[in-house]
Amino acid sequence: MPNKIIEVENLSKVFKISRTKKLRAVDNVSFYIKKGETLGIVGESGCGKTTLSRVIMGIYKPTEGRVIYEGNTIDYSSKNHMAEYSKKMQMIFQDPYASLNPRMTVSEIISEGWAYKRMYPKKVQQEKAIELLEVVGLNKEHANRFPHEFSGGQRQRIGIARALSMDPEVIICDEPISALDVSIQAQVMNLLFDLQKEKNLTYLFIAHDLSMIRYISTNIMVMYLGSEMEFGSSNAINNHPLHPYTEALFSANPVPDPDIEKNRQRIMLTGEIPSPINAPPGCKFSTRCKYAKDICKKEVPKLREIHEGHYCACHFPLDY
Amino acid sequence: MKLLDVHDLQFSFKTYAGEVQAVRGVSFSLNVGEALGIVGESGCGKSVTAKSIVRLNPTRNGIYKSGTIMFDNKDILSLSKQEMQIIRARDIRMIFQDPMTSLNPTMRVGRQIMEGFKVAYPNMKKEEAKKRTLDILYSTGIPNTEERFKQYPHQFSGGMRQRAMIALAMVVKPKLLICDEPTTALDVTIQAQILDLIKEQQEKTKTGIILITHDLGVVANIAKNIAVMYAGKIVEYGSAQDIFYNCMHPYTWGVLQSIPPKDADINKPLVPIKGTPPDLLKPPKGCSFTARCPYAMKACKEMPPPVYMADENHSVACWRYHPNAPKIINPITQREVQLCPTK
Repeated sequence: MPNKIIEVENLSKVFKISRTKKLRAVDNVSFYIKKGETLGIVGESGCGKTTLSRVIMGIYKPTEGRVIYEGNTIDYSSKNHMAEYSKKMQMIFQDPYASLNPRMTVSEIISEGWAYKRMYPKKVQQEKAIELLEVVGLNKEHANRFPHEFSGGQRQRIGIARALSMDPEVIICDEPISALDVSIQAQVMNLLFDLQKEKNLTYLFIAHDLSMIRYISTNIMVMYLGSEMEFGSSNAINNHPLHPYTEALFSANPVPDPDIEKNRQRIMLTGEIPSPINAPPGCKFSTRCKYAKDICKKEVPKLREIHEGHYCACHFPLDY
Repeated sequence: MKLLDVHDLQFSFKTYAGEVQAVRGVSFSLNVGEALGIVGESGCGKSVTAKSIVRLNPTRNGIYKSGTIMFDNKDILSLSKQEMQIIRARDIRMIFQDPMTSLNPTMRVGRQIMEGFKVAYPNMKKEEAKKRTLDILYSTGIPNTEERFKQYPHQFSGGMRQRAMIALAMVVKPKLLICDEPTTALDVTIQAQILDLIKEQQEKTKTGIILITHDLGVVANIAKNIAVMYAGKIVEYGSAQDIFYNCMHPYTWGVLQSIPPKDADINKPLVPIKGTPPDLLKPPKGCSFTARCPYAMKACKEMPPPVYMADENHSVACWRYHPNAPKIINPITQREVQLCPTK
């Protein structure tokens, strides 16, 4: 059994908007990732996926709760501790155009981490950068070019090489493929798979493409308005969703198959996501849920384990 | 009855680096009340094709090199500016990807929609226009129409703005609605709502639809016919059934194989298309897919492929369907593919 590499307990992140208004971007979230596995986080825009990943990355301090990395609670107030910790975690960003500095060459971009930590002499840095470029499917002629000379897929490869430069254990992928074309998406995904197998990497994968998420993830966490709705294995969430929101979300995903599209019953969500500043009381999903009863509007459902390894926060989980 | 007939459309942009041949000979037609999906990667010319139909391409550096666009027995490319404006106001409406940048931020939503009436029907009374605007807002699923009528676009959410855009487009019951990636900026749950709305409006008003997207899932439900574009050309055209279950072009196979399978079996690896699309500053002499095609032959590099008819409504542009070319196996169905023997 692989060990839990990251464990998150009752994590919340609250942003103050004005003296009276508060935004609970992440609200009481708990989950774990095991070493070498992939956790997929899904949810509509504004559900707190990115904020959560930034708290885990150490960019934001959590308001409540804690993050445990390999058995040690992360101390967000200690600079030394954070420097040590952030080395093990790297990030790949959504927009391959905005996330690379246009004034730096590719090899400078890749070796920036080494330069900052004063890890290798300059010459070695250059050689190592070329090695990494070959790992991600580029070659040494690319080392001295600038980002604008590359296509979207190639830039994302540079982003991956930069993330690999510090030999991380965990990589947080924040929508790494949503800006790419379908045929290029598969190239980048296969590269991420191969790297995971080769280096035993752990991925925290954020995406809104549900078919891709269920294809790659070991576990999936579904978020809505900052709260965790469901957490479980990819198979379980796919075939037997427990939360009405998960059911609706997956049924809204268009399938590239006209026969299936014509015959299937969509579960339509009416209305839109409420504002997270004054989130509805009780279950946050109760305003759009077709199964909602009185209790849903009053009492916040607790996250409980309904089947082994399959958690759900709902008063009336769907039948298995 | 034919509503739109595009024949051999070629459009280029003049840049300092040279001439970018964005659309290189596109032909298709659309019947009244039908829905056509145009699918392709970014930069394949799908938006330029669509904007050519309403003549919204930039005229400063863009030129129509050849081709005709017949809409309702009018030659779009030879109409005057004023005539074109009336067509854009009454007959062909367009919905864009980003509803924030296509609505006027300084104008109340209701007034923007009323303006649509004013251009299309100059004699309409104000009260009548307002009444019809409220009706159309209601029918696109916008609640509290009286209140929403007075609001500005920034007070609408993304999905609401796209609904307002559809309302704006449908006010005049156009003959043709062009949707350029209408749901790309939206969440899946909102996307499903918007697609349903477009479908519903189409069935109600018998509007012809051209839906441009890069997401095959989006067209599966709406489009009757699908055109697959690559590097400025249509490489395969057919009914939705043909494209999804019986496609014939190696590029279409590649695209279908690079999306995750439905059964989500991780042991089945994704099959990406190798390489990147060609540079349209210097498009290849032969078939533009040659460099990435696992089935490429010598002829593919030399000459652009002719269009073969596989069926009455299914065409494919690939040298591999030449009678003398070796037969190929469809990697999805594992069956040998051949043209229909009657043709």
